[in-house]
Amino acid sequence: MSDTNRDTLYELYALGLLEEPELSEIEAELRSGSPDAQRLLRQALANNAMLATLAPAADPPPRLRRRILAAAGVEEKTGWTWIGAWGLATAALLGGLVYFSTEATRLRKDGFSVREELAVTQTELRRSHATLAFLRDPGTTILKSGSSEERQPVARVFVNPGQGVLLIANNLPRLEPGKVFEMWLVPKSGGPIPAGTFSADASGAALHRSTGSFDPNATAAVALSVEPDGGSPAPTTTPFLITGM
Amino acid sequence: MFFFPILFAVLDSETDRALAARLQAREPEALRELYDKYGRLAYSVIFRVVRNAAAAEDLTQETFLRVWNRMAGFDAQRGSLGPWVLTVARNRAIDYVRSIDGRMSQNAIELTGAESPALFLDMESVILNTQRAKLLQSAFQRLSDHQRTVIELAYFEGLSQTEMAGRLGQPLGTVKTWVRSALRQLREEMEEPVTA
Repeated sequence: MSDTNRDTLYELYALGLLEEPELSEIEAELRSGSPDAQRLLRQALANNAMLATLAPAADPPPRLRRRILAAAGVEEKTGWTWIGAWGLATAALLGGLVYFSTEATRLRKDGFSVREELAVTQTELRRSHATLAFLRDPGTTILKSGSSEERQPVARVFVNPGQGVLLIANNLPRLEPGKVFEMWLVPKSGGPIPAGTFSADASGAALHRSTGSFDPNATAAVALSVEPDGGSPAPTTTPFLITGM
Repeated sequence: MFFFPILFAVLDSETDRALAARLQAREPEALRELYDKYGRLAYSVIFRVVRNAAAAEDLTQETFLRVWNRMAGFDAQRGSLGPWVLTVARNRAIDYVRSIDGRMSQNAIELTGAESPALFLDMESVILNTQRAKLLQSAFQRLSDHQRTVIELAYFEGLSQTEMAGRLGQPLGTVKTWVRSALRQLREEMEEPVTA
């Protein structure tokens, strides 16, 4: 493979568009921990990011900024100095309006909260539909691992050659800050292939889907390990849950 | 054809480093600044992909929350915030259209794996600014119609080369040639490789 060709293959890989057999080649290079492979991937990600500037300009609505800050638990600045001064002057003249203004603000905030919850619910609903479609597909089969004892980690893994892997886990251990769970597809030969990171809720339950390619005949197991946030190219801790094919 | 680059302020890497450090310290003002710098561009990319304002808002929110919540894994000294934010934005949008279309390329990789904050290091040469955006736009305009089409299908629609061949009714080998020559031409015209 020439260097120029490798640049292109890494760019396609970083876009999620590389196909076999080149995909396996690039993944093998990355799994090897080669500094050159890491450099090429970083360069590809950088080049791809520039393509974003080809998008036609679209202005997000002003409410989006408020939504994002509210969702992150950050209060939006509202220019209190100006509003306060204006408000005091207004209050001196039209004190009665303060009450109605306060009420209106409260109602707007309530309305905003409802819209916020609705947006989150809609996002969840779309994901639920995608999950249901995966589970309904006749090509999906189920695997199970873990102990049936109470509070021990347990996983149900649904596999579909055309649509990937869906993991439903319970009783997952509590994670330290800066750690995530990472799913691995363990091939019959070769090292584990990263299949995405995720977190569990307070009860230790989690649902994670890997939509990448999946060949059940070439896969020995699906495994879970604890990794640093952002994931690892290869497991850095011993997998604690392994589901055989 | 729709192309005109989004013009945005020159973002020097020193400022982004300071911003990244403040984001890691969970400073609320830093999240506001991050959105003010990259919000319009991230929304524009997402909107181009999903072509639906409500979904674009949801996905832009998801993008910034993902970045905000994953700052612990970002290297504030060597990391490149802009490319990371835009990669997360594009990947969220492509994931979304794939999930609602029920479309998933047989070999498409999990996009989440290619947006780990730890990967966005030492990208000094891709500091996003108006000049580089114009350079890319003119390089893009010099591509052939076929080359421009496949770059759009790859970046903004997330189609694999096999899917493009089906969509365009062209042999796979021809599509691969267009894609590879287009990416190579853009890369060469943008010069300056990323530092190692």
